[in-house]
Amino acid sequence: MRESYITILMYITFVLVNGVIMLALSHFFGPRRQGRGKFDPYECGVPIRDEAHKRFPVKFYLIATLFILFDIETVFLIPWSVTYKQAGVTGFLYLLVFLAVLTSGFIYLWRRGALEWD
Amino acid sequence: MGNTYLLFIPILPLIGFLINGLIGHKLNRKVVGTIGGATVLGSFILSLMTLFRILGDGNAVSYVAFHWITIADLDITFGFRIDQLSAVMINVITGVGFLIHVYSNGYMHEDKSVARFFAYLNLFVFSMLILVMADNIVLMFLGWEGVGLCSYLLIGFWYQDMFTKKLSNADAGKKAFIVNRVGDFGFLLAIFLIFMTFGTLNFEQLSHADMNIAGGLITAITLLLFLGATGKSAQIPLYIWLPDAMAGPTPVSALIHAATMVTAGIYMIGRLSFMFVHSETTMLTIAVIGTLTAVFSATMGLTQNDIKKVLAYSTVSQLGYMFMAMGVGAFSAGIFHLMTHAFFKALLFLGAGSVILACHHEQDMRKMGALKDKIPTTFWMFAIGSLALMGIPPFAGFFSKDDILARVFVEHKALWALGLVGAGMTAFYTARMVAMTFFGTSKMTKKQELHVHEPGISVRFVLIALGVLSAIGGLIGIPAALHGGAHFSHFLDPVFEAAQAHQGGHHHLSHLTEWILMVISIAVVATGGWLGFDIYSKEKSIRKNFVKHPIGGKLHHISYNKYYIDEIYDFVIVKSIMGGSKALWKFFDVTIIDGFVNFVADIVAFISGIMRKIQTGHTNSYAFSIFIGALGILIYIASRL
Amino acid sequence: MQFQAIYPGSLLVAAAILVLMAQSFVKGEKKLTISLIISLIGVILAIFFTFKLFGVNESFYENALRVDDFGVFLSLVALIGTALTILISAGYLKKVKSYYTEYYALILLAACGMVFLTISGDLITFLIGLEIMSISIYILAGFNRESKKSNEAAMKYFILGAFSTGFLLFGMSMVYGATGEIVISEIGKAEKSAGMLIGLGLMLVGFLFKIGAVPFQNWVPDVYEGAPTPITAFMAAGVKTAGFAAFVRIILIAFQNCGEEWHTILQVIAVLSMIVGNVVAISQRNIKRLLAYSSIAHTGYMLLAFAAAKSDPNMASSSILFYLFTYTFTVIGAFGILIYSGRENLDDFAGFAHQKRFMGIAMTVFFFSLAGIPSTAGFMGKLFIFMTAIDQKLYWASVIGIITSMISVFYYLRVVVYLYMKPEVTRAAPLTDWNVAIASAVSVIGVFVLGLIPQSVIQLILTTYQSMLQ
Repeated sequence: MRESYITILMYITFVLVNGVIMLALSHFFGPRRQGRGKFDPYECGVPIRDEAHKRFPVKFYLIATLFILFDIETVFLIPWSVTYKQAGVTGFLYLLVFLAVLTSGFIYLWRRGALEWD
Repeated sequence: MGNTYLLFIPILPLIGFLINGLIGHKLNRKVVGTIGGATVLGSFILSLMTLFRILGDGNAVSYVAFHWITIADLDITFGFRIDQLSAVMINVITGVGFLIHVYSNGYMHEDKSVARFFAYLNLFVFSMLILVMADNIVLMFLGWEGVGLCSYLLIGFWYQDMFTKKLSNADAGKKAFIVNRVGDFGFLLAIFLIFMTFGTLNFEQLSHADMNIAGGLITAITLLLFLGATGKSAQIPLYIWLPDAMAGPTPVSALIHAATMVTAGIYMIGRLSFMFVHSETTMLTIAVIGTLTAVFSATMGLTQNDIKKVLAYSTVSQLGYMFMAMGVGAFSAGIFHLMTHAFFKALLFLGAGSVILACHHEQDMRKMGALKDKIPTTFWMFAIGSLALMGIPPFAGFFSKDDILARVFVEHKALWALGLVGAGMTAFYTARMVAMTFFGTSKMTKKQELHVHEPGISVRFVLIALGVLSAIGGLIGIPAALHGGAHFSHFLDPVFEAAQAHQGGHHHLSHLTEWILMVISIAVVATGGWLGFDIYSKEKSIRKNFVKHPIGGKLHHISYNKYYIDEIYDFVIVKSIMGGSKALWKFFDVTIIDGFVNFVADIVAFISGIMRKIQTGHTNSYAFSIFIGALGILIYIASRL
Repeated sequence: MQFQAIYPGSLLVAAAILVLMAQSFVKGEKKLTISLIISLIGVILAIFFTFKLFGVNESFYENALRVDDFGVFLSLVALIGTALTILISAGYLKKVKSYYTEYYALILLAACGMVFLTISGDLITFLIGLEIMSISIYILAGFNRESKKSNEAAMKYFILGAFSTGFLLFGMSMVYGATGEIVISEIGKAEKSAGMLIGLGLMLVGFLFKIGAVPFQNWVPDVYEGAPTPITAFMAAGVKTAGFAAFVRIILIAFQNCGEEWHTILQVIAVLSMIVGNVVAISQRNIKRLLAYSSIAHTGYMLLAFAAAKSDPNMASSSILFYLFTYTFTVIGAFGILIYSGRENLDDFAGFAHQKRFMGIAMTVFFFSLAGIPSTAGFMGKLFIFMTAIDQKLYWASVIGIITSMISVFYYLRVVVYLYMKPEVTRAAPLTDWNVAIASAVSVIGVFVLGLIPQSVIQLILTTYQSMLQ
């Protein structure tokens, strides 16, 4: 039983050692040049024009969060659709309850104005 | 069952409390006072009925209202059991309680929150009755805490006032409550241990339980119980709250801090006497602590100038005598003294109350004097109370104190000697108090003197009633040596049967020895009383005038000698003993005890302050603490793997 | 009929949805009243259907739910706590002039989580119940959006809560790994193993955090102080009840073979909690913080009884159940009066009892109950706890418990001293709100009933441990 883990142990050791060797090699043999360009966000490519930390409306977060909620719907719907024959009427009723709860949440969001952009 | 009426004994004052507490502020003050007094009177009548019933057939009366807590083998009832001991107690509580309610009607007539006062007072009577009527320890504890609570509420009744420069009335109340909690800790722990050891908390069942268990355990239980008793009954080292409790209105001091609540500790030991006698160590501790307290607080009483403080220290001292009696197994003598003390000490407090009222809320005896003729009723009653307290025959205190001292003499000669010294000092400070208050010259201003008046009729009635009790209350316990029947002691015999059986028949003193002891104690008391009276009733200025007077000149020599003796008194007694006592009082009471209490309080507050600093408010430090906790648990678990 | 097991929970969710609908379609002040009525009806119905579950003692949904008297009793306690919380919340919302009735919906959802927590039969239901409850409470703690303290409280509670849930989950996976079972009663049949013990240790961290025991208590004062007052009451009563419900069930059933280990750990933690809670409370002048520390101490008392469960699980779990019941009334009553008076600082309470007679009396009763003065529920609760502990020979821990509870009298009494014995200060007049008054009256009655005639409740409780085993 334990022997079978030895390969994994060897693998982990190899990865660790390999990583350390790579870093060590580049540390010792890599060239070092100090210059202004070193402190730019991108050492190569397009020169920066303004701040990277830009503000954008919080509504993006809200919409994203709401999307996740409705995404969950799929998680429940797909298993049901796969087995809807076996689940039968009971399963269908359960699903309706689930959808009713979800819809009431949607109505709430809508009436509270969470979906309005302005 | 025909015993349902027992339930009404505590219920009546409870009804009074509810009426006065909830709607009392809307009622006329006379109605409030009547409700307060009438409910207690009702209880008193029922208590008397119960007493006569027990006097009739000698059987205890019991009534179980309902089963309070039943868990597995534990069955705690909400039940009462009145035997001879509790019958005495309920009659003292409701009888003296009723008189004090009547007195309060007169005394508190100026106070604006009289409804609150009577509500608290009724609640107190209710709790005290529960305490003494309970048929099990838990119910007793309920009353125990209840009386403590009422005591606290009533000490702080005039919460806006300052008691001393440093201590407000509210603080005095709080001090009493917290000091009592130390004692309650012992009591509570003892309850648990009793349940664990004997499997029951019912007094009746406990008295039949086998007490021959491991000696250490029974000593631990009884010592813890005694710790509870020292808290409630103000014994060394927990007596410090009682003098401060004088911050409360005077009727409260009379009822709670003299007659009833402070005797709860004595009652508890009496109730569980069958348990206490199984531990020699505990009995000895009780006797020693009682004696020390009796003597110690008597020395402190010598120098107090506040009339109520003299009485407070005197109460502590008299309680010490009761414990002394309990400690030597003289249970009925202790209970006897408890009863007579309730009469005369209540009388003294109430008398002091009317003196204080007469002098416009002045409590300092140095500012009184020569009140004898101005308030004669108060004076005569106060005098009776004082004689009873000193132990002058045939007043009540004589028989009970003598009974105790005689029993102590048999068991411990040294304690007897100390007790005798205490009795002498008691006589001294009592006489001093009477002399300073009622004799000598008046130290009041003319304007004040005009206002001195006898209290109202209800107050005088109460004083006289208590005066009669203090005068003749002792007669029911006249010892056989004086050709009495010692009725009181025989009445209580059934209660202490078990305890006395364990102790074996106590050695009876011959009547001659008893006579000799009696004479010795009367001599000591008389000497002490005469000294106290003589020093404090006479003024040096009077004597000087007397000397200059032509006729008086002939008596100069005698007077001079007298004066000389006065000086010796002054030097030997006042300067040295009293100075010593004062120093001792200052040192012990203020430095050691208060210092210790403050020290403990400071330490706790200090630790509390440090621990509070752990609360940094930083989430990461909180998470770190959780992490450390988890690490601790896992390390422990790893050690068990 | 397996549906009966989920009636209470479903009713609470339905009520929560109705409240949200009311928020969506009703305008103005009316929606506050409507939401209050809907929530109260929902909770009362839930209480009714929970009550009918007594004596069922069965497992439902493939052992996911375990409906026994133990869980049903604690469900009831949590729901009574919820009902009282809703009543005192009505006063609070009126005072802060908030129209966000989502508040009620969140309380109902939290209550739903509590119900499932108390009757969870396997670790999954347990975790889901815990999370439904916790997430609702996180939001509620930060409900007062204008207050920085409230926001801070929510954030701290959330972060630390997530942190501790991590431990809990890790522990659960260890246990599952060691035994291959998630059903609580099945885990109990497995033999003691290293994996299980490590799982026990990790799960203990999660539990002890939720009930606020030392050294996992740091969040309690900050969150209790910052959160809206009714939510603080809800946390002290409901969350603690539900937390203990799952805690006791999982430890006593699933870890019944590891008694030696949790016995020692719980004893140490009980002592620490009693000391830290009671001692630090002395230096608090904010009553919400004072009650927070007192709640830590009360957790300590219950853990003391819990530690005794190794040798006498019946008495131990009974005394914990009884204590939780008494504590619910006491603590919600106390917080209710804080809302009523509109004050939090000790100094502001000077002379309050003269201003408001009955509220003063009620507050005195609650603080006496917290202090354990006889004839109140608190005394009865402490009596059981200490009796159980001393009976099982936990002498030192009990002595420390009794000493610290004597210390606690000092700070409880100080509040009463301020109520009655300090000169009145003129403050903004307290609000007159009948809902809070009703909640206080119910709590006062509860305190006295449990203190004076607890017999019927005790009889009920004494059989609950057996019901878990059936």
